[in-house]
Amino acid sequence: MNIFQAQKLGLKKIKFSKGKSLFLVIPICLMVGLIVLASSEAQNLIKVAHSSIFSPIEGQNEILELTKVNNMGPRDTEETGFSDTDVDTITDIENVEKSSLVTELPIEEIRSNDTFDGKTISVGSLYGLDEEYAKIYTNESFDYSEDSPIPIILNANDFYEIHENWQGQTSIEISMTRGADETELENAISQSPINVRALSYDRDELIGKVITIQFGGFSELSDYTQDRTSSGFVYTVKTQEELNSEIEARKDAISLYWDYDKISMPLTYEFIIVGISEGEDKTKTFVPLEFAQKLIQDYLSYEITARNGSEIPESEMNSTYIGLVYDGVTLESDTTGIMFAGMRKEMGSQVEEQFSEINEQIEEQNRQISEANEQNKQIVEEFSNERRAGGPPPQMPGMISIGSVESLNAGNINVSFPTSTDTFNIPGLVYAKDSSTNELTGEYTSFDFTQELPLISNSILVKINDVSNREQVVSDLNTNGFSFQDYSKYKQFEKLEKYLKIAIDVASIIFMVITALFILINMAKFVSEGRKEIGIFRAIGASKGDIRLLFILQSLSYALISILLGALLGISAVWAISNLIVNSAQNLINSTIGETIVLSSNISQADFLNLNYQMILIYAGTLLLVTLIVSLIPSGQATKVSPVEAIRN
Amino acid sequence: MSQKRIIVENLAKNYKNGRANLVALDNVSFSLNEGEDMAIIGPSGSGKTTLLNLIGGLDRPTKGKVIINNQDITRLKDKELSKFRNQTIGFVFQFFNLQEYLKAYENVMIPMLFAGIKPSKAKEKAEKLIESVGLADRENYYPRQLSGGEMQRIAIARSLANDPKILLADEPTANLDKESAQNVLEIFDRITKDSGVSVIVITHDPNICKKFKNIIHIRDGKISKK
Repeated sequence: MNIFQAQKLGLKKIKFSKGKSLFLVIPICLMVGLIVLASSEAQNLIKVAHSSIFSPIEGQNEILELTKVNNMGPRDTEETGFSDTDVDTITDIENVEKSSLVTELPIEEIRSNDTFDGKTISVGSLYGLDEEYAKIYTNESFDYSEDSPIPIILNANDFYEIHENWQGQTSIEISMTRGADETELENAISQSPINVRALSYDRDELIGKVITIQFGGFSELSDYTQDRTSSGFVYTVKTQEELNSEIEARKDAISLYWDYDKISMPLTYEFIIVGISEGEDKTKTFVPLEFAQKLIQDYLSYEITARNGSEIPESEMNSTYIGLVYDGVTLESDTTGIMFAGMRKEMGSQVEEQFSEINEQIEEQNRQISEANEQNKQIVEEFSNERRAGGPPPQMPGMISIGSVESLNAGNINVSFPTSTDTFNIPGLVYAKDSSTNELTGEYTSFDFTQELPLISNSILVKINDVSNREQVVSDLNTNGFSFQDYSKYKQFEKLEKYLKIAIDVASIIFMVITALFILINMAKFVSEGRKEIGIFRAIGASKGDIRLLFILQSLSYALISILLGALLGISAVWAISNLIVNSAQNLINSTIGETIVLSSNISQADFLNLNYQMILIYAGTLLLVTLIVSLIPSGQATKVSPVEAIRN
Repeated sequence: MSQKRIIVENLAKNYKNGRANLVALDNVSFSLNEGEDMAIIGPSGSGKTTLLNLIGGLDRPTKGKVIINNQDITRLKDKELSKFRNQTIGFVFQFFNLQEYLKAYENVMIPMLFAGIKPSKAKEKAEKLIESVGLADRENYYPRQLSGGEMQRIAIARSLANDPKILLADEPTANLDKESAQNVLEIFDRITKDSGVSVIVITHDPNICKKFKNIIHIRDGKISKK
């Protein structure tokens, strides 16, 4: 008797006693079905997790944004910005794929009303980016042409809105002492009437969307004040009268030197979103370098045309009317420098020391806050946005929040910072600075717009060839004098992904062992039930080998049928519940990782319809092999059955 | 002179049941010629079936020889013995012992499949054999669809599948009505005469015994009368 005949015989037996066979087939079938379902969906989940979580995280972590911070503290103008030498140094670092200077545009009040329906987002910092370098962020063209929407790479960290909740009160006081502990900080943040909420977005929907962005003009005045008290903060709602009079005062003050209607009308351009830069440490919005030049020209010339001819008195330069500064070399926002230059002149280096001391305190406070916030993701989100929204640069007068400084009481010297009521940020205004005296000499209006404008590059983008080299690159950067603190948590994600895979493998093995045990038990039952048949077959000429073959093939037939049915069952199950899984997976991602990390999470049902063919084949093959092995024992027993006794019974 | 087909010499079989030694067969000797039939008669537990199993190579004796076609089958290895049962012996049982999950013709095919005959040839032959036992219209029936007599005739067809030299039947008619029993005996008779097969039938029915040329009586494991 050969294998095929024995197999045929086995199948006939199964077919004949269907009811009985089902008892064996159904459990194996269910187990196989479960494995098909579990392994397929697990693979899909891993794939989805990889593409919507791990891969973006990896991608995000392959780019470092190196920025020179120059907002606070004493500074040396010589060190402003990065140079081509810096780029060369960085490019020479091992595993750095490329690096490039990026130029921040000194433009204020950048807003878009139509990126999100009914919501206005502010664009934090705008950079010109080389087309070739844009490939890091987008596959789309990053080419600027005048008659089509301008490509833009938005920054996901700008997607937030500010909520005010006054709980029916007009004033809310929050107690928080300097050096507050974690709980105190959490309390303070949760009591604050001002909350920042991240806007959820679908990356694929945003990409390709045409939006308009406004540059310049004047921001809406804040409708509340925030003051520091001896015991904490007090938030107070402004009355409509107060607000109106502030608006009037601003208009009057600006109208002294500008045509208010002209200067308050922002520049508007149409953009097409080609990419989103995502990640905790990513802060930049990018437009094509060529457009950046044009934009800054437009921005400067529109201020010049809005002037009414009256000259701004020296005492009001950069104290009442804030503008950019041009020292003949670079054009930049330089209010801090100017202020410090002024203060230095007036009060000597003492202030500087005091200031840096206070600055350290603030840094410490910030550090404590971020530590506290590690405990609470919600708060992290609110805080980091809040910090950016109301951060310390004095270019944003009036907006002050926890961690920033309104007034400094350093020893017996009292330095007052300008507040919103008497300071105005004028879009496009440029003062000329005498580089030898550091004094402002007047408005600078004679830019040659045919030339490249002398913007400063305070940022370098570094692309690492592989995320696994990040640690080494960061370390080398610091060795080379580029201070970069790595906050990335991608390593944990790598681990998470690895563990997820291990968990699934272990589950599969457990299933396989259970199935194998089940087959072993059933085969033993076969033998005891089939004793008589064995005896008869032996009598009519079956050798021990024939009996063994028959029994092995009988169990293989059972296994084969069960596996086929199980596979069908599993595949149908994959189809049936993919919809369910996609929703729970989406919820899971949104409610866990999505809370802390900006992700493009668009999981579709199709993602969960893929079958893990490899796993199914391996499992089926292994199961058949296991069946073969475990049926050797009972089939060996079968050959020992004495035909005489078997027939007699 | 016709050749001796079966020679049984001093055959003995003891069964060990715990410490007790049961003597099932004690020093039995006889012979049977080609084309002859024989009935073995005796009460239950006398050792008839043991004798038949030893002749058919299903069991091994404690002592003695079974020489079939000049070959002592008690010395054969399991594999050779299986082949011997398959090729030389045809078994017919009291309870037919057909496989209920196989159709009539498939049951007949089984010994041929064990012999390595191609399924198509085996099927052809199975159909012929079924026809020869008068059940051509029943070849596609499952055993449960057949009467006792029909099942036994299919079982006989199966026993003849590999053209055996010896047909061994253990109480083949005990579970059949008179007519069916008669029918079965006629088939045995025909087989003996037409194909020269030696038929040995166990029975305890004296009326059946009369139809056989040779009769041996067994009592307490010994031949009491030839």
